Amino acid sequence: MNEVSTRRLTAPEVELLRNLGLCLGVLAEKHAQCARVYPDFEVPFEEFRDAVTAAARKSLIEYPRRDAQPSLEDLKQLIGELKLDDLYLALGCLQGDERAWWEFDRQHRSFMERLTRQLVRSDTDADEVIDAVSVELFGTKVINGMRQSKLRTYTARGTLRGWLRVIIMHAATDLHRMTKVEAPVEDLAAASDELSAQSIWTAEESVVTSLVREKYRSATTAALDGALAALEDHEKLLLLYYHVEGLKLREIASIVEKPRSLIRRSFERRSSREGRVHESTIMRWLEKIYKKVLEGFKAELASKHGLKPEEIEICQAIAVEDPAQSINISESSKSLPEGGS
Amino acid sequence: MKPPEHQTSEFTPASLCRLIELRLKARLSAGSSSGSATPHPNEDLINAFVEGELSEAESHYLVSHLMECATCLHLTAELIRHEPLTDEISSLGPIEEQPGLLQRFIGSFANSISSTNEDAVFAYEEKEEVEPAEGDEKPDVDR
Repeated sequence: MNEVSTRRLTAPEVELLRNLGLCLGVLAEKHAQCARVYPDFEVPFEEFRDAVTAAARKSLIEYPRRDAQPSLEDLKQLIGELKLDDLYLALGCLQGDERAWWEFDRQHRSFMERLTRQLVRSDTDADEVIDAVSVELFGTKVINGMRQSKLRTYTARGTLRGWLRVIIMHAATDLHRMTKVEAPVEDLAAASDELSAQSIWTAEESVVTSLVREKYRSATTAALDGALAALEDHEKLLLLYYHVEGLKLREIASIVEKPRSLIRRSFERRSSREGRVHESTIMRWLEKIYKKVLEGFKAELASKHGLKPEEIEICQAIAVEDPAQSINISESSKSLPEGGS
Repeated sequence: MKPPEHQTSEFTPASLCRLIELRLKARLSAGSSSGSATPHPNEDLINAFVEGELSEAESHYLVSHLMECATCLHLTAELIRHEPLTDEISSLGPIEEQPGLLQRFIGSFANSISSTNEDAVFAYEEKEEVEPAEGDEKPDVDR
Protein backbone atom coordinates (compact mmCIF):
# COMPACT_ATOMS: atom_id res chain seq x y z
CA MET A 1 0.00 0.00 0.00
CA ASN A 2 2.82 2.39 0.83
CA GLU A 3 4.38 1.72 -2.54
CA VAL A 4 1.09 2.49 -4.27
CA SER A 5 0.50 5.71 -2.38
CA THR A 6 3.88 7.23 -3.32
CA ARG A 7 3.43 7.06 -7.08
CA ARG A 8 0.80 7.77 -9.67
CA LEU A 9 -1.92 5.12 -9.72
CA THR A 10 -2.68 3.12 -12.84
CA ALA A 11 -6.25 2.76 -14.11
CA PRO A 12 -6.65 -0.80 -12.73
CA GLU A 13 -5.35 0.39 -9.35
CA VAL A 14 -7.86 3.26 -9.29
CA GLU A 15 -10.61 0.77 -10.07
CA LEU A 16 -9.33 -1.59 -7.39
CA LEU A 17 -9.34 1.16 -4.77
CA ARG A 18 -12.87 2.15 -5.81
CA ASN A 19 -14.01 -1.45 -5.41
CA LEU A 20 -12.23 -1.71 -2.08
CA GLY A 21 -14.25 1.28 -0.94
CA LEU A 22 -17.36 -0.75 -1.74
CA CYS A 23 -16.02 -3.68 0.30
CA LEU A 24 -15.24 -1.74 3.46
CA GLY A 25 -18.23 -3.24 5.26
CA VAL A 26 -17.04 -6.78 4.47
CA LEU A 27 -13.52 -5.89 5.53
CA ALA A 28 -14.73 -4.40 8.81
CA GLU A 29 -16.63 -7.60 9.50
CA LYS A 30 -13.55 -9.73 8.71
CA HIS A 31 -11.41 -7.48 10.90
CA ALA A 32 -13.83 -7.93 13.78
CA GLN A 33 -13.75 -11.73 13.28
CA CYS A 34 -9.96 -11.73 13.44
CA ALA A 35 -10.03 -9.57 16.57
CA ARG A 36 -12.27 -12.18 18.17
CA VAL A 37 -9.81 -14.94 17.22
CA TYR A 38 -6.93 -12.95 18.72
CA PRO A 39 -8.38 -11.00 21.67
CA ASP A 40 -4.96 -10.49 23.31
CA PHE A 41 -3.70 -7.96 20.79
CA GLU A 42 -5.15 -5.41 18.46
CA VAL A 43 -4.43 -4.47 14.86
CA PRO A 44 -5.91 -1.13 13.75
CA PHE A 45 -8.48 -1.47 10.98
CA GLU A 46 -6.49 0.88 8.73
CA GLU A 47 -3.44 -1.40 8.90
CA PHE A 48 -5.61 -4.40 8.11
CA ARG A 49 -7.31 -2.65 5.17
CA ASP A 50 -3.99 -1.49 3.73
CA ALA A 51 -2.55 -5.00 3.94
CA VAL A 52 -5.58 -6.42 2.12
CA THR A 53 -5.21 -3.67 -0.50
CA ALA A 54 -1.57 -4.62 -1.05
CA ALA A 55 -2.51 -8.29 -1.35
CA ALA A 56 -5.30 -7.49 -3.82
CA ARG A 57 -2.98 -5.35 -5.93
CA LYS A 58 -0.50 -8.20 -6.19
CA SER A 59 -3.04 -10.94 -6.85
CA LEU A 60 -5.43 -9.10 -9.16
CA ILE A 61 -3.16 -6.67 -11.00
CA GLU A 62 0.53 -7.44 -10.69
CA TYR A 63 0.61 -11.20 -11.19
CA PRO A 64 -2.08 -11.64 -13.84
CA ARG A 65 -0.61 -8.72 -15.84
CA ARG A 66 -3.82 -8.25 -17.67
CA ASP A 67 -5.23 -5.03 -19.01
CA ALA A 68 -8.74 -5.75 -17.81
CA GLN A 69 -9.60 -4.09 -14.53
CA PRO A 70 -10.36 -6.47 -11.69
CA SER A 71 -14.06 -6.47 -10.99
CA LEU A 72 -15.84 -6.11 -7.69
CA GLU A 73 -16.65 -9.82 -7.86
CA ASP A 74 -12.95 -10.69 -8.35
CA LEU A 75 -12.12 -8.61 -5.29
CA LYS A 76 -14.87 -10.14 -3.15
CA GLN A 77 -13.74 -13.62 -4.11
CA LEU A 78 -10.14 -12.79 -3.26
CA ILE A 79 -11.10 -11.35 0.14
CA GLY A 80 -12.95 -14.59 0.81
CA GLU A 81 -9.86 -16.62 -0.09
CA LEU A 82 -7.22 -14.65 1.83
CA LYS A 83 -6.03 -16.20 5.08
CA LEU A 84 -7.05 -13.15 7.08
CA ASP A 85 -6.53 -14.68 10.53
CA ASP A 86 -2.93 -15.34 9.59
CA LEU A 87 -2.60 -11.85 8.12
CA TYR A 88 -3.93 -10.33 11.35
CA LEU A 89 -1.36 -12.27 13.38
CA ALA A 90 1.45 -11.23 11.02
CA LEU A 91 0.35 -7.59 11.29
CA GLY A 92 0.30 -7.84 15.08
CA CYS A 93 3.88 -9.13 15.00
CA LEU A 94 4.90 -6.39 12.59
CA GLN A 95 3.62 -3.82 15.07
CA GLY A 96 6.06 -5.33 17.56
CA ASP A 97 3.25 -6.43 19.85
CA GLU A 98 4.74 -8.87 22.32
CA ARG A 99 1.43 -10.71 22.75
CA ALA A 100 1.22 -11.22 19.00
CA TRP A 101 4.74 -12.62 19.01
CA TRP A 102 3.82 -14.87 21.89
CA GLU A 103 0.90 -16.20 19.85
CA PHE A 104 3.10 -16.63 16.78
CA ASP A 105 5.59 -18.50 18.90
CA ARG A 106 2.91 -20.72 20.38
CA GLN A 107 1.49 -21.62 16.97
CA HIS A 108 4.59 -21.97 14.86
CA ARG A 109 7.79 -22.40 16.86
CA SER A 110 7.57 -26.18 17.20
CA PHE A 111 6.82 -26.52 13.51
CA MET A 112 9.74 -24.31 12.52
CA GLU A 113 12.21 -26.12 14.73
CA ARG A 114 11.10 -29.62 13.76
CA LEU A 115 10.99 -28.89 10.05
CA THR A 116 14.43 -27.26 10.13
CA ARG A 117 15.95 -30.21 11.97
CA GLN A 118 14.55 -32.54 9.33
CA LEU A 119 15.87 -30.45 6.46
CA VAL A 120 19.46 -29.91 7.55
CA ARG A 121 22.11 -32.39 8.58
CA SER A 122 23.35 -31.26 11.97
CA ASP A 123 21.95 -29.52 15.03
CA THR A 124 24.47 -26.72 14.51
CA ASP A 125 23.17 -26.13 11.00
CA ALA A 126 19.60 -26.28 12.25
CA ASP A 127 20.35 -23.67 14.93
CA GLU A 128 21.97 -21.48 12.29
CA VAL A 129 18.93 -21.73 10.01
CA ILE A 130 16.49 -21.09 12.86
CA ASP A 131 18.48 -18.06 13.97
CA ALA A 132 18.64 -16.72 10.40
CA VAL A 133 14.88 -17.16 9.98
CA SER A 134 14.22 -15.54 13.37
CA VAL A 135 16.32 -12.52 12.44
CA GLU A 136 14.46 -12.24 9.13
CA LEU A 137 11.09 -12.46 10.84
CA PHE A 138 11.81 -10.02 13.66
CA GLY A 139 13.74 -7.65 11.43
CA THR A 140 16.80 -6.00 12.93
CA LYS A 141 16.71 -2.87 10.76
CA VAL A 142 14.27 0.01 11.05
CA ILE A 143 14.02 2.29 8.02
CA ASN A 144 11.81 5.41 8.15
CA GLY A 145 10.27 4.12 11.34
CA MET A 146 9.32 0.82 9.72
CA ARG A 147 10.76 -2.48 10.92
CA GLN A 148 12.19 -4.38 7.93
CA SER A 149 10.69 -7.73 8.73
CA LYS A 150 10.18 -10.53 6.25
CA LEU A 151 6.62 -10.73 7.54
CA ARG A 152 5.93 -7.57 5.58
CA THR A 153 6.04 -9.65 2.38
CA TYR A 154 3.36 -12.04 3.58
CA THR A 155 0.13 -11.32 1.66
CA ALA A 156 -2.08 -14.09 3.07
CA ARG A 157 -2.58 -15.81 -0.29
CA GLY A 158 -1.53 -19.08 1.34
CA THR A 159 -1.29 -20.05 5.00
CA LEU A 160 1.26 -18.41 7.29
CA ARG A 161 2.63 -21.84 8.17
CA GLY A 162 3.09 -22.74 4.50
CA TRP A 163 4.80 -19.40 3.93
CA LEU A 164 7.09 -20.14 6.87
CA ARG A 165 8.17 -23.46 5.38
CA VAL A 166 9.20 -21.64 2.18
CA ILE A 167 11.22 -19.15 4.24
CA ILE A 168 12.85 -22.03 6.13
CA MET A 169 13.63 -23.91 2.92
CA HIS A 170 15.17 -20.77 1.46
CA ALA A 171 17.32 -20.33 4.55
CA ALA A 172 18.33 -24.00 4.53
CA THR A 173 19.16 -23.73 0.85
CA ASP A 174 21.22 -20.60 1.45
CA LEU A 175 23.20 -22.50 4.05
CA HIS A 176 24.00 -25.25 1.58
CA ARG A 177 23.90 -23.13 -1.56
CA MET A 178 26.69 -24.91 -3.32
CA THR A 179 25.42 -28.40 -2.71
CA LYS A 180 21.67 -27.93 -2.75
CA VAL A 181 20.37 -24.98 -4.75
CA GLU A 182 22.80 -25.07 -7.58
CA ALA A 183 22.72 -28.82 -7.77
CA PRO A 184 20.01 -28.97 -10.41
CA VAL A 185 21.81 -26.57 -12.72
CA GLU A 186 25.15 -28.26 -12.07
CA ASP A 187 23.57 -31.62 -12.66
CA LEU A 188 22.27 -30.39 -15.98
CA ALA A 189 25.71 -29.17 -16.99
CA ALA A 190 27.28 -32.43 -15.84
CA ALA A 191 24.68 -34.40 -17.77
CA SER A 192 25.50 -32.31 -20.80
CA ASP A 193 29.23 -33.07 -20.54
CA GLU A 194 28.64 -36.73 -19.94
CA LEU A 195 26.32 -37.05 -22.87
CA SER A 196 28.66 -35.13 -25.13
CA ALA A 197 31.46 -37.50 -24.17
CA GLN A 198 29.32 -40.40 -25.27
CA SER A 199 29.29 -38.98 -28.76
CA ILE A 200 32.99 -39.03 -29.52
CA TRP A 201 32.36 -41.26 -32.49
CA THR A 202 30.96 -38.29 -34.35
CA ALA A 203 34.52 -36.97 -34.83
CA GLU A 204 35.26 -39.94 -37.06
CA GLU A 205 32.48 -39.18 -39.49
CA SER A 206 33.23 -37.95 -42.96
CA VAL A 207 32.61 -34.28 -43.65
CA VAL A 208 29.62 -35.03 -45.91
CA THR A 209 27.99 -37.34 -43.40
CA SER A 210 28.63 -34.78 -40.77
CA LEU A 211 26.97 -31.99 -42.78
CA VAL A 212 23.93 -34.13 -43.51
CA ARG A 213 23.69 -35.11 -39.90
CA GLU A 214 23.96 -31.46 -38.83
CA LYS A 215 21.08 -30.53 -41.10
CA TYR A 216 18.84 -33.18 -39.58
CA ARG A 217 20.05 -32.45 -36.07
CA SER A 218 19.10 -28.79 -36.19
CA ALA A 219 15.73 -29.72 -37.72
CA THR A 220 15.22 -32.29 -34.96
CA THR A 221 16.04 -29.78 -32.21
CA ALA A 222 13.81 -27.08 -33.67
CA ALA A 223 10.94 -29.51 -34.24
CA LEU A 224 11.17 -30.85 -30.70
CA ASP A 225 11.22 -27.32 -29.31
CA GLY A 226 8.23 -26.43 -31.44
CA ALA A 227 6.33 -29.46 -30.19
CA LEU A 228 7.21 -28.69 -26.56
CA ALA A 229 6.36 -25.00 -26.97
CA ALA A 230 2.95 -25.93 -28.34
CA LEU A 231 2.05 -27.74 -25.13
CA GLU A 232 -0.13 -26.00 -22.61
CA ASP A 233 1.26 -24.76 -19.29
CA HIS A 234 -0.09 -27.63 -17.23
CA GLU A 235 1.36 -30.16 -19.67
CA LYS A 236 4.79 -28.54 -19.60
CA LEU A 237 4.70 -28.39 -15.81
CA LEU A 238 3.87 -32.08 -15.60
CA LEU A 239 6.83 -32.93 -17.84
CA LEU A 240 9.16 -30.68 -15.84
CA TYR A 241 8.17 -32.18 -12.50
CA TYR A 242 8.45 -35.74 -13.78
CA HIS A 243 11.51 -35.53 -16.02
CA VAL A 244 13.57 -32.65 -14.68
CA GLU A 245 12.77 -32.70 -10.97
CA GLY A 246 12.25 -36.44 -10.77
CA LEU A 247 9.07 -36.19 -8.70
CA LYS A 248 7.33 -39.52 -8.26
CA LEU A 249 3.88 -40.06 -9.71
CA ARG A 250 2.52 -40.23 -6.15
CA GLU A 251 4.08 -36.85 -5.33
CA ILE A 252 2.68 -35.26 -8.46
CA ALA A 253 -0.72 -36.77 -7.67
CA SER A 254 -0.62 -35.14 -4.23
CA ILE A 255 -0.43 -31.64 -5.70
CA VAL A 256 -2.83 -32.41 -8.53
CA GLU A 257 -5.41 -33.62 -6.00
CA LYS A 258 -5.88 -30.11 -4.67
CA PRO A 259 -9.13 -28.78 -6.09
CA ARG A 260 -7.63 -25.56 -7.45
CA SER A 261 -4.46 -27.11 -8.84
CA LEU A 262 -3.69 -25.75 -12.30
CA ILE A 263 -2.87 -29.22 -13.62
CA ARG A 264 -6.06 -30.70 -12.22
CA ARG A 265 -8.26 -27.86 -13.46
CA SER A 266 -6.75 -28.07 -16.92
CA PHE A 267 -7.15 -31.82 -17.32
CA GLU A 268 -10.57 -31.90 -15.67
CA ARG A 269 -11.82 -29.31 -18.11
CA ARG A 270 -11.58 -32.06 -20.67
CA SER A 271 -12.61 -35.08 -18.67
CA SER A 272 -14.91 -33.50 -16.02
CA ARG A 273 -13.40 -36.04 -13.62
CA GLU A 274 -13.56 -35.31 -9.92
CA GLY A 275 -12.28 -36.86 -6.71
CA ARG A 276 -8.97 -38.50 -5.95
CA VAL A 277 -6.20 -38.49 -8.56
CA HIS A 278 -4.35 -41.78 -8.74
CA GLU A 279 -0.83 -42.38 -9.95
CA SER A 280 -2.20 -44.25 -12.94
CA THR A 281 -4.13 -41.12 -13.91
CA ILE A 282 -0.92 -39.08 -13.90
CA MET A 283 0.78 -41.74 -16.03
CA ARG A 284 -2.11 -41.65 -18.46
CA TRP A 285 -1.86 -37.85 -18.70
CA LEU A 286 1.87 -38.16 -19.31
CA GLU A 287 1.31 -40.69 -22.08
CA LYS A 288 -1.13 -38.32 -23.74
CA ILE A 289 1.47 -35.58 -23.57
CA TYR A 290 4.16 -37.84 -25.10
CA LYS A 291 1.78 -38.66 -27.92
CA LYS A 292 1.07 -34.97 -28.46
CA VAL A 293 4.80 -34.15 -28.49
CA LEU A 294 5.51 -36.92 -31.00
CA GLU A 295 2.72 -35.81 -33.30
CA GLY A 296 3.79 -32.20 -33.00
CA PHE A 297 7.42 -33.17 -33.65
CA LYS A 298 6.57 -35.03 -36.87
CA ALA A 299 4.20 -32.29 -38.01
CA GLU A 300 6.88 -29.63 -37.44
CA LEU A 301 9.47 -31.61 -39.41
CA ALA A 302 7.04 -32.01 -42.29
CA SER A 303 5.45 -28.57 -42.39
CA LYS A 304 8.11 -26.16 -41.13
CA HIS A 305 11.21 -27.98 -42.36
CA GLY A 306 9.64 -29.54 -45.46
CA LEU A 307 11.01 -32.99 -44.72
CA LYS A 308 9.66 -36.05 -46.47
CA PRO A 309 8.52 -39.11 -44.46
CA GLU A 310 11.82 -40.91 -45.11
CA GLU A 311 13.77 -37.85 -43.91
CA ILE A 312 11.63 -37.70 -40.79
CA GLU A 313 12.65 -41.29 -40.21
CA ILE A 314 16.31 -40.25 -40.51
CA CYS A 315 15.75 -37.54 -37.90
CA GLN A 316 14.17 -40.05 -35.60
CA ALA A 317 16.97 -42.54 -36.18
CA ILE A 318 19.63 -39.93 -35.38
CA ALA A 319 17.74 -38.89 -32.30
CA VAL A 320 17.36 -42.46 -31.11
CA GLU A 321 20.98 -43.46 -31.61
CA ASP A 322 22.43 -40.27 -30.16
CA PRO A 323 19.89 -38.19 -28.27
CA ALA A 324 22.35 -35.76 -26.69
CA GLN A 325 23.83 -34.72 -30.03
CA SER A 326 20.63 -34.79 -31.99
CA ILE A 327 18.83 -32.30 -29.80
CA ASN A 328 21.70 -29.87 -29.46
CA ILE A 329 21.62 -29.70 -25.70
CA SER A 330 23.87 -26.67 -25.31
CA GLU A 331 21.71 -24.36 -27.37
CA SER A 332 20.40 -21.29 -25.61
CA SER A 333 16.70 -21.25 -24.96
CA LYS A 334 16.57 -17.60 -25.97
CA SER A 335 16.86 -18.59 -29.61
CA LEU A 336 14.02 -21.04 -29.35
CA PRO A 337 10.42 -20.45 -30.27
CA GLU A 338 8.44 -19.13 -27.34
CA GLY A 339 5.77 -21.18 -25.61
CA GLY A 340 2.30 -21.14 -27.00
CA SER A 341 0.71 -20.11 -23.72
CA MET B 1 14.78 -43.63 -18.59
CA LYS B 2 16.56 -46.65 -20.01
CA PRO B 3 18.16 -46.33 -23.44
CA PRO B 4 16.52 -48.41 -26.16
CA GLU B 5 18.03 -51.84 -26.64
CA HIS B 6 17.61 -51.85 -30.40
CA GLN B 7 18.07 -48.72 -32.41
CA THR B 8 15.19 -48.27 -34.77
CA SER B 9 14.08 -45.39 -36.90
CA GLU B 10 10.84 -45.14 -34.92
CA PHE B 11 10.84 -43.68 -31.42
CA THR B 12 10.30 -46.07 -28.60
CA PRO B 13 8.53 -44.54 -25.60
CA ALA B 14 11.84 -44.67 -23.71
CA SER B 15 13.78 -42.85 -26.39
CA LEU B 16 11.11 -40.21 -26.75
CA CYS B 17 11.11 -39.67 -22.98
CA ARG B 18 14.89 -39.38 -23.01
CA LEU B 19 14.76 -36.79 -25.77
CA ILE B 20 12.12 -34.77 -23.98
CA GLU B 21 14.04 -34.97 -20.72
CA LEU B 22 17.30 -33.81 -22.27
CA ARG B 23 15.71 -30.97 -24.16
CA LEU B 24 13.77 -29.70 -21.14
CA LYS B 25 16.90 -29.80 -19.00
CA ALA B 26 18.90 -27.98 -21.65
CA ARG B 27 16.27 -25.26 -22.00
CA LEU B 28 15.95 -24.84 -18.27
CA SER B 29 19.71 -24.75 -17.82
CA ALA B 30 20.07 -22.10 -20.52
CA GLY B 31 17.12 -20.13 -19.13
CA SER B 32 18.58 -20.19 -15.62
CA SER B 33 22.00 -19.00 -16.65
CA SER B 34 20.63 -16.15 -18.74
CA GLY B 35 18.08 -15.07 -16.11
CA SER B 36 14.32 -15.38 -16.33
CA ALA B 37 12.15 -12.81 -18.06
CA THR B 38 9.75 -12.55 -15.13
CA PRO B 39 10.89 -11.59 -11.62
CA HIS B 40 11.01 -14.33 -9.00
CA PRO B 41 7.60 -14.68 -7.35
CA ASN B 42 7.53 -14.09 -3.61
CA GLU B 43 7.34 -16.90 -1.06
CA ASP B 44 3.64 -16.36 -0.49
CA LEU B 45 2.77 -16.96 -4.15
CA ILE B 46 4.98 -20.05 -4.33
CA ASN B 47 3.43 -21.47 -1.19
CA ALA B 48 -0.11 -20.66 -2.31
CA PHE B 49 0.61 -22.47 -5.59
CA VAL B 50 1.71 -25.61 -3.74
CA GLU B 51 -1.28 -25.28 -1.40
CA GLY B 52 -3.51 -25.10 -4.49
CA GLU B 53 -4.90 -21.68 -3.64
CA LEU B 54 -4.09 -19.64 -6.72
CA SER B 55 -6.50 -18.33 -9.31
CA GLU B 56 -5.98 -19.36 -12.91
CA ALA B 57 -4.36 -16.03 -13.83
CA GLU B 58 -1.95 -16.22 -10.89
CA SER B 59 -1.13 -19.86 -11.69
CA HIS B 60 -0.30 -18.97 -15.27
CA TYR B 61 2.03 -16.23 -14.10
CA LEU B 62 3.82 -18.63 -11.77
CA VAL B 63 3.98 -21.53 -14.21
CA SER B 64 5.39 -19.26 -16.92
CA HIS B 65 8.14 -18.38 -14.48
CA LEU B 66 8.76 -22.02 -13.52
CA MET B 67 9.29 -22.88 -17.19
CA GLU B 68 12.43 -20.76 -17.27
CA CYS B 69 13.67 -20.69 -13.68
CA ALA B 70 15.35 -23.86 -12.43
CA THR B 71 15.67 -22.44 -8.90
CA CYS B 72 11.96 -21.73 -8.41
CA LEU B 73 10.98 -24.98 -10.14
CA HIS B 74 13.27 -26.86 -7.79
CA LEU B 75 11.86 -25.01 -4.77
CA THR B 76 8.27 -25.92 -5.67
CA ALA B 77 9.32 -29.53 -6.29
CA GLU B 78 11.02 -29.66 -2.88
CA LEU B 79 7.90 -28.26 -1.24
CA ILE B 80 5.80 -30.94 -2.93
CA ARG B 81 8.32 -33.62 -1.98
CA HIS B 82 8.33 -32.51 1.67
CA GLU B 83 4.59 -32.08 1.99
CA PRO B 84 4.00 -35.37 3.84
CA LEU B 85 6.76 -34.37 6.27
CA THR B 86 5.34 -30.89 6.88
CA ASP B 87 1.85 -32.35 7.34
CA GLU B 88 3.22 -34.81 9.86
CA ILE B 89 5.11 -32.11 11.76
CA SER B 90 2.05 -29.87 11.73
CA SER B 91 0.05 -32.60 13.43
CA LEU B 92 2.51 -32.87 16.32
CA GLY B 93 2.11 -30.93 19.55
CA PRO B 94 4.36 -28.12 20.75
CA ILE B 95 7.93 -28.72 21.90
CA GLU B 96 8.06 -28.18 25.65
CA GLU B 97 10.79 -26.97 27.97
CA GLN B 98 12.64 -24.90 25.40
CA PRO B 99 12.81 -21.13 25.12
CA GLY B 100 10.61 -19.76 22.37
CA LEU B 101 11.78 -18.01 19.25
CA LEU B 102 11.29 -14.58 20.75
CA GLN B 103 13.14 -15.47 23.95
CA ARG B 104 15.95 -17.13 21.96
CA PHE B 105 16.24 -14.18 19.64
CA ILE B 106 16.30 -11.67 22.47
CA GLY B 107 18.80 -13.88 24.31
CA SER B 108 21.15 -14.20 21.35
CA PHE B 109 20.76 -10.48 20.59
CA ALA B 110 21.66 -9.60 24.19
CA ASN B 111 24.63 -11.97 24.06
CA SER B 112 25.94 -10.39 20.88
CA ILE B 113 25.70 -6.92 22.45
CA SER B 114 27.41 -7.90 25.68
CA SER B 115 30.17 -9.83 23.90
CA THR B 116 31.10 -6.89 21.66
CA ASN B 117 30.70 -4.12 24.21
CA GLU B 118 33.95 -4.43 26.08
CA ASP B 119 33.63 -1.10 27.89
CA ALA B 120 30.42 -2.08 29.59
CA VAL B 121 30.48 -1.84 33.34
CA PHE B 122 28.50 -4.38 35.22
CA ALA B 123 27.15 -3.66 38.67
CA TYR B 124 27.78 -7.16 39.71
CA GLU B 125 28.93 -8.40 43.02
CA GLU B 126 30.53 -11.78 43.05
CA LYS B 127 29.41 -13.74 46.02
CA GLU B 128 31.84 -15.95 47.77
CA GLU B 129 30.82 -19.54 47.63
CA VAL B 130 30.61 -21.08 51.02
CA GLU B 131 31.47 -24.71 51.24
CA PRO B 132 28.51 -26.51 52.79
CA ALA B 133 29.30 -28.02 56.11
CA GLU B 134 29.15 -31.73 56.39
CA GLY B 135 25.62 -32.90 57.00
CA ASP B 136 24.06 -29.74 55.57
CA GLU B 137 21.16 -30.34 53.21
CA LYS B 138 21.18 -28.92 49.68
CA PRO B 139 18.72 -26.01 49.65
CA ASP B 140 15.53 -26.82 47.76
CA VAL B 141 14.58 -23.84 45.61
CA ASP B 142 11.10 -25.11 45.03
CA ARG B 143 10.20 -25.06 48.66
